Amino acid sequence: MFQLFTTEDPMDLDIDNESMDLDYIDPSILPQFRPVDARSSHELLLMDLKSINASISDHFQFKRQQRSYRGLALRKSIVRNKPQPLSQSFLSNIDPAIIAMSRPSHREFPIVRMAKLATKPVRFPPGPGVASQPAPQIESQSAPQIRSQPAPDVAGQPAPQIRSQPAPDVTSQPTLTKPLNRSNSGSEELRDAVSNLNIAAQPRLELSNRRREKRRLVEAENAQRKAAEEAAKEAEAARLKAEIEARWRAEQEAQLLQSGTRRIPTSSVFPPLSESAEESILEALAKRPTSQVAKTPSGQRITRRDIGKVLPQAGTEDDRSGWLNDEIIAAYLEMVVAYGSSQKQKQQQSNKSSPQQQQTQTPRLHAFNAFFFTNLAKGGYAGVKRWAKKAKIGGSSLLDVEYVFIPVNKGGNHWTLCVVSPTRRIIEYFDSFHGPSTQVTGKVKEWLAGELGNKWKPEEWSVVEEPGREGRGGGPRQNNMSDCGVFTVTTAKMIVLGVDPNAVSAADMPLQRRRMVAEILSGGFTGGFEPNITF
Amino acid sequence: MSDREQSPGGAANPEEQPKTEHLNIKVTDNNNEVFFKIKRTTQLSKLMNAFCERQGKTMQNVRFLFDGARVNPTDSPDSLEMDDGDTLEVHQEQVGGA
Repeated sequence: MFQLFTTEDPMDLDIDNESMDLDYIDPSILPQFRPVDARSSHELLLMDLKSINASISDHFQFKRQQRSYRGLALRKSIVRNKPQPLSQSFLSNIDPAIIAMSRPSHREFPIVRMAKLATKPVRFPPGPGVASQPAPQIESQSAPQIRSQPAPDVAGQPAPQIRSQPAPDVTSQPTLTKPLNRSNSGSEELRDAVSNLNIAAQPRLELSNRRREKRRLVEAENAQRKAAEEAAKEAEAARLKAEIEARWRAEQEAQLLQSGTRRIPTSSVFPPLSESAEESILEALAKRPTSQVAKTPSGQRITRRDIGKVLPQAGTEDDRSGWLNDEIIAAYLEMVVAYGSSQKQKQQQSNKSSPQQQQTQTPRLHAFNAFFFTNLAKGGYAGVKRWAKKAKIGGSSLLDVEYVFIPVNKGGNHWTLCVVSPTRRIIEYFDSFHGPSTQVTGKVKEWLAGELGNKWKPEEWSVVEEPGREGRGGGPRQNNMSDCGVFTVTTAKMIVLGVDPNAVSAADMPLQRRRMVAEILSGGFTGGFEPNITF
Repeated sequence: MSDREQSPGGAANPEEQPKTEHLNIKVTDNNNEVFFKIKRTTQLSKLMNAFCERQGKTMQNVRFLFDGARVNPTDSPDSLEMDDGDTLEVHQEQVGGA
């Protein structure tokens, strides 16, 4: 028998090969079509079809071989797409006329196309052989279907007429028993094949759907995991960034403090006191004058009488003037220095880069008591010769000190502050009355000269004065006859915190007095009194 | 001039003691100087009270300093690492406001 070779769609074969010229097939390689004649032998037609298929396949094979660099892959695809013979039963049931009608484009999907053709109600002119017989059968079966459709739409008259016509046709057919049966079974087989195709396609679709669903799930899971990983990575990066930023900021802060830069803070320097702090103040004020209410970091006792100087109470022995005594000044400066030193130690520990620097025992900050300047003014350097050594800042090691606070009591009634910065070779003088400074700075220079000996180089040192206040003390001004001591110690605290002392004003003084007492009672800037300054 | 006085304890102990046991300490408030001979382990509160009594001062209003460092009543020459002949300064309380 003849074999009709089918090849899968040649377009399909090379669909992935864009470079291959698929649309163009050299006409010379194709055999010439003979004029289609339904009555001519279908064997001949099949021969033609076969040779067409073969030549098309040859053409592509040739083209593939031309592209030798893709040889292996293409050879594989050739094997995969080897032309497959159609089944005998299938061929025998195909109307040769259908085959004859097959156009080159129909050969893309020979089976499906031909099956479609076979189910189409096409009337062929009567001819010899098997071909002519199934046609009426097909027509009679499908005809009512097609014709019944227009029936409701079109007026009732033509429909019954048309329907009545094929009906006798079908009944008249039984005479053609054998060929009818054969063709009938053949068309059924064809239809089965077609429906099988659909049935087969459905589970495949379902399978692919399920697979797609699975893939989607996996993809979603992957995406989720990837997103989580990315989020974690981002969080890690953000954490690192924040850490680096925090470290950088801390370094900047340290550098700013080191450089002596003073800034105006954005937050209040004097936040209001807590209930418990107010309570502790009242409790301490209610004690007898000589009783101890607090201890300084070095263990110096502070009595009720001392805090009464800061917050004088009516009906007590307190001096109502509100003048601070040397005890309170010394205690508060000691607290400031203790706080500043602990902060610097923390920085050094966090840096860990300078353990050898730590073993130089020179404190970075020191505050003398009020009698340092009293002695210095009275007896010159000799009056305080042993003071610096006792404080471990004597001799040349004094130049390693960042700040030395020297409270100055002027005339037994006014507190001022001299700030010496040996590391920066600067002398500053703060006076809330903006009084003359030269006497104080001159005496301090005398002390520096005595202490530093041959390391004293006056040209290196300068007295930093506020513009317009040359020769006079600077800093914020008091607006009464009592607050100078509060300004004095507050200025020292601001300097240690890197805050511009001018950020403090006279209006802050009533609260600062209460804060001072609360802080002294707490024994330092701890337990809720940590200065949290933001710039 | 400062009037040189011996503390009662110092006067009561004229006989020589090992130098490590006792030391002479000068207490001065710039106007008066008082010499004390005390044991190394004696609390300085004794000395401080004696000085205040003698000078008619109250402890609240004076500050005893050794080389600029505040002296507490519980300190002793040992704890302050004092040597023979060292000086304790006495300062009057200072106040200020205006």
